[in-house]
Amino acid sequence: MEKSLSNSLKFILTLALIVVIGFLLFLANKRASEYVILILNLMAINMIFAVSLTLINGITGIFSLGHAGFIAIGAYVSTLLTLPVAQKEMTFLIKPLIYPFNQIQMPFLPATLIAGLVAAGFGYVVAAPSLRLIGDYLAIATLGLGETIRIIANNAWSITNGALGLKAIPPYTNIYWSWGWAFVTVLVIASLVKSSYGRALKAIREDPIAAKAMGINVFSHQVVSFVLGSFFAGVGGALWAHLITTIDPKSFAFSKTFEILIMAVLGGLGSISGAIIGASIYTVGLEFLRVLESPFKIWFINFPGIPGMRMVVLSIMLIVLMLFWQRGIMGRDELTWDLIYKLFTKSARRRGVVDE
Amino acid sequence: MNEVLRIDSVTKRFGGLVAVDRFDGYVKQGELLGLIGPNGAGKTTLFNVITGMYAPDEGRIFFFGKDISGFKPHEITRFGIARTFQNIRLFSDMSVLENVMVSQHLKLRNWLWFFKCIAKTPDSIRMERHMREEALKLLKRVGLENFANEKASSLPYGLQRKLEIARALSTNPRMLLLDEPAAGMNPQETFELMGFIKQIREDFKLTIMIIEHDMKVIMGICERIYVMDYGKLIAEGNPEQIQSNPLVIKAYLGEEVLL
Ligand SMILES: Nc1ncnc2c1ncn2[C@@H]1O[C@H](COP(=O)(O)OP(=O)(O)OP(=O)(O)O)[C@@H](O)[C@H]1O
Ligand SMILES: [Mg+2]
Repeated sequence: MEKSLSNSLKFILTLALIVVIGFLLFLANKRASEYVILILNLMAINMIFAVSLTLINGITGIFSLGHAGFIAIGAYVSTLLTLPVAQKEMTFLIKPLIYPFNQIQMPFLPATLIAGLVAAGFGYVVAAPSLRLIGDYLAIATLGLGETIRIIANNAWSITNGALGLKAIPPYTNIYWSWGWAFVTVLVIASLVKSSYGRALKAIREDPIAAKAMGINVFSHQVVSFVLGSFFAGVGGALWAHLITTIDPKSFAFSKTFEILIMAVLGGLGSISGAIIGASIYTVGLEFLRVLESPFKIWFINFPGIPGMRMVVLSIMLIVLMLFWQRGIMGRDELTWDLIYKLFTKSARRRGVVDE
Repeated sequence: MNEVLRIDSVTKRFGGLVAVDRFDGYVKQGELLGLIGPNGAGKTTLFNVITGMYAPDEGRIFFFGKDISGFKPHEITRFGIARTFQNIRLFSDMSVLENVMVSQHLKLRNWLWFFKCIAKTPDSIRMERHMREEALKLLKRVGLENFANEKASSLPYGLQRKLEIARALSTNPRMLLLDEPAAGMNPQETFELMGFIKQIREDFKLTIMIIEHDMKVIMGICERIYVMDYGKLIAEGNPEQIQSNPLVIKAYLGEEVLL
């Protein structure tokens, strides 16, 4: 017997899920503590980062290590657009901010969109020549790019305020912005992946030579995937900047890219739903591990709180996880209603609930 | 004479090695042309030059009179030349159906489709359904419809070769290049493959060029044969002529191939 659900039922289930999540977020926004709301915001932003990275690395098979660079671009561009003019004058003490940023102040939405577009533009500028020239060595080029952007941010005083960074960023990011954008990101990327373009991108990942021979313009597809991923990284960067309200070049070190890679790999590199799950677990997990950084006691032994300890523990846990569970939680599969239904009926049959 | 492909004094070098050496040839409309030669003779390299994987160092290639040398592989596929690979190159982690659907992607000729596919516009949904139907039709045609949802890598070897052919046909080619389609098949599968190749030539009105080490296949289905050795064309003729050509026998001497 073929097990599957009808399309309309799946649509209703999806809609219901979205409504439920929306309602829970609405409740949280009203009732939950500021701390919980912060975590929820971070979770959504991490989803944006992980899903956009999955499009590039997992679906298209471009091994990019430059995500933090595009996040930085999004964060700086949006901040320069939303920061009040007076605040800019106070911040840029060492060198004044260049025109036209020193006179602009705009609302959050256009600033976020422009941030994404500028990141996408940079994505194009990096991806096009390096994909054409060096192909497989893109990882090194993107790694270099991420670091270059950080170094530029450190030294371009009249744009980024150098090592001092930008402070007092308006805290525009709230549950609606962050989860709204996460929703848009997932919708766009999942819709793309579930189309002929998604198949083409996966074909490129599986075997670029065969993909070419089947009539796919491998180069342009890789560039488009990279640019779209960079756009959402930029959007996520804008949301992040307006959540944490201070940014400086150190916020965008390689460890940021690494963190996102961990989320994507944990969820299963190549799976959109995996990236969402990975980002959620990572965000929440990191908070639970915070206890390790304050002094605690197991039996008679006192542990002093060591800052950074949770990263060490998390890394070890992840290494162990990867050793025994290499494909991550979802592998390359998507968490679909069909899959849930199949798992459910399987376990039900084992318990003898469903008879056939 | 209706000429589909003309290879005009094509040379391809790898450093000092001349893999294809001033090769001249043509393929007629509807022909089933064999390309044979000892290991390393340059047969696969010639396919790679025809399909644009390598640009020829010298010479030109014409497809229906149009100079296609210098075009990219995906462009040449869109002109109507499809191929299979000597070392199977399926999209292994994708399903059998998806493998064949990938070759339907070239129907989306401009990037407007990219946005339509994201927005799931009605015509993009229609297009998706059309692609699926075409791919299923082809799977049925090659007898793989029962494996549609299996992973490509889970198929037995012989069926993987068939899937490669189905995937190539899915690009809607006018000419098909088969690189050792019988490699790894047992005699029964090989025998079926011979009938299959002849049949798809009729059904899809194809011109076919085939590289094969199994002489039963070549002698059994090809109307004309080119023999290559050290990158050069050393003989041409129908199966009887090739079998009795002393140059060919000499080229194969020391190889365990019975002509
Ligand atoms: N990309 C490459 N770089 C360097 N040398 C190559 C390359 N591709 C092929 N060659 C060399 O070119 C020569 C011809 O190779 P080719 O694969 O075309 O032979 P073939 O006739 O297909 O042989 P076989 O029957 O073994 O498949 C060989 O000597 C091979 O080593
Ligand atoms: Mg070969």
